[in-house]
Amino acid sequence: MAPVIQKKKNPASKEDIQKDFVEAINLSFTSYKNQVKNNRKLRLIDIFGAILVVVGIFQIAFVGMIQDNYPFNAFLAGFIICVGQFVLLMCLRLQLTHPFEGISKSKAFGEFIIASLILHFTCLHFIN
Amino acid sequence: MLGLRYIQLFLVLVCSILAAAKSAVGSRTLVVFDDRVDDLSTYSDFFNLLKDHEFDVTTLELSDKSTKINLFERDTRLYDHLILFPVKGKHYSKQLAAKKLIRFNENGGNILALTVPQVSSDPIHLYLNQLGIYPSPRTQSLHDLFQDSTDLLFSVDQLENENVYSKTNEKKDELFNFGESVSAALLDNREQIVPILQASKTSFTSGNKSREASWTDGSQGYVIAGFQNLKNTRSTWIGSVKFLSNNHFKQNQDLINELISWTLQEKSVIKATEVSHTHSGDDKVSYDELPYKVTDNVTYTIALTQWDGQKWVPYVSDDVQFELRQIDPYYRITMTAQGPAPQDPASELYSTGSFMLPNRHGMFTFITDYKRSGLSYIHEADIKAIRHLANDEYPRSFEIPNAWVYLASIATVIISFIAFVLFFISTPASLSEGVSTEKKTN
Repeated sequence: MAPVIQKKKNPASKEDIQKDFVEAINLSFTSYKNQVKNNRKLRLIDIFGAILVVVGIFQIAFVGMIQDNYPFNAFLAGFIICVGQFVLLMCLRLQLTHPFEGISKSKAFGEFIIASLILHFTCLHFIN
Repeated sequence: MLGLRYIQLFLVLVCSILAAAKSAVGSRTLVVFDDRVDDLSTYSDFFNLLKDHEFDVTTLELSDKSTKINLFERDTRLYDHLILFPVKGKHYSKQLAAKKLIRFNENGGNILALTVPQVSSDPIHLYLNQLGIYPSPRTQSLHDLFQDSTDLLFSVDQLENENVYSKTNEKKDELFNFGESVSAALLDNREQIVPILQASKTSFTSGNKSREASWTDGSQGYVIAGFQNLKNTRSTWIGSVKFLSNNHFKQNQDLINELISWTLQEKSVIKATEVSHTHSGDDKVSYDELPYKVTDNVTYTIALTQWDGQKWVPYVSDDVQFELRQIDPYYRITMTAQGPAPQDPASELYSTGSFMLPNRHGMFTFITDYKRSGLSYIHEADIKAIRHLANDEYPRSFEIPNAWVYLASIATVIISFIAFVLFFISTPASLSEGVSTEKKTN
């Protein structure tokens, strides 16, 4: 998708800025929709990412609610597995949309699986 | 010949054991005096009292310059107690230098020293100054214009230490006569000093010269003061000799008796006989069998015994405290008396009861530091290591309810990861071969 270059106007009034902002959001939203519409894998990645965000936020909310982080290693393991999995997932997504030179998409997916397994292994040991 | 000497030695030993029945440390007493200052016959009642206490008294007259005072023979103490009457002259200063007195005291010898304002007994003064007792200088003596008699009288109320002289109701209105010339002392504020008899509020010291500043005013002065060093040997200073003389003996007998008992260690002598600490529980596992770790339950006990003049008896008190220290005390527990110790019925057993070690590892000191003015000091310290938990002694995550949430999230992440991978492989790359707009731009 070709990047949209906006013409420079004189941002004199607040309304103009607001208009620009709304326009920018709409543009990125539509471009995202276009990107995902025909690609099931990307959609799958995004759903998984959303699950990870929800689980991570839930754990932080839990710690805030009970006002105690007593098995702190357990909390760290639970939270880090969410963050780490999310980061790996985003790396995979980047490679699918903008493949690196010399690295095929299936190789990228294989690396993603290996890295994730290492992450799970580490976290399971950390939570003891 | 040799056999005879052994028999002699044996007899001496037996005698000393029999004689030691009164003082907790021994009975060999040396009395140093000077004929030029005082005639010893005016103190005969005092010496009779010493004999009643079964002390083995040697007297040494110092006006003759050839007399030598040997407190030690090749590092062995020759006497257990030393009583110093005021003595004049340089000869005396050499024979009984303050250093020698300190050495005697540090090696376990008790000293009862007397001074009078008329005579400057320099070595005694130097020695007392080392202890932190500062008697008034020569010519300064204590006066009290509110008393009618020329003799200074002191009441029982002015006595300060219950362990030296316990005031009972019968003794309420007793008066002690100190004679005409009395010296008063200023006391340092160090803890080893035991103030015994305080001067009255209306008293003061003054000398012959009218302009001289007074050494003590009112109740800041003391007439009798004691000192107990960290090895529990005692020194007592009395600011008057007439206090002991036959003229006033009847009146002062009670106090003299108690002073001798305290100074020559016949009473207020306590010691620890058994100190132990074990894991709590009936089987009492010791530290050597199973070293302590953090949050273990431990019990500490100590047995204290007291010399009553004849034998050792249990020492009962309600203020014996135990401390568990690592620089700061983590615990300070007042121990409860449990009755006579099972192993040694002559001592009282104190116990902390079961207490939990703090959740902190390192070197800890198990200490009983019982120091009361007038009583022998007890300092029993034992340094032990308290280890931290080994890596397999912590609770597992699944034993802690809080951790179930995090375990569940990890399970969620892993399961959804597996599901994701399966879906990812099974779905075709794109639905309608739109292959995204990216490819076109590339």
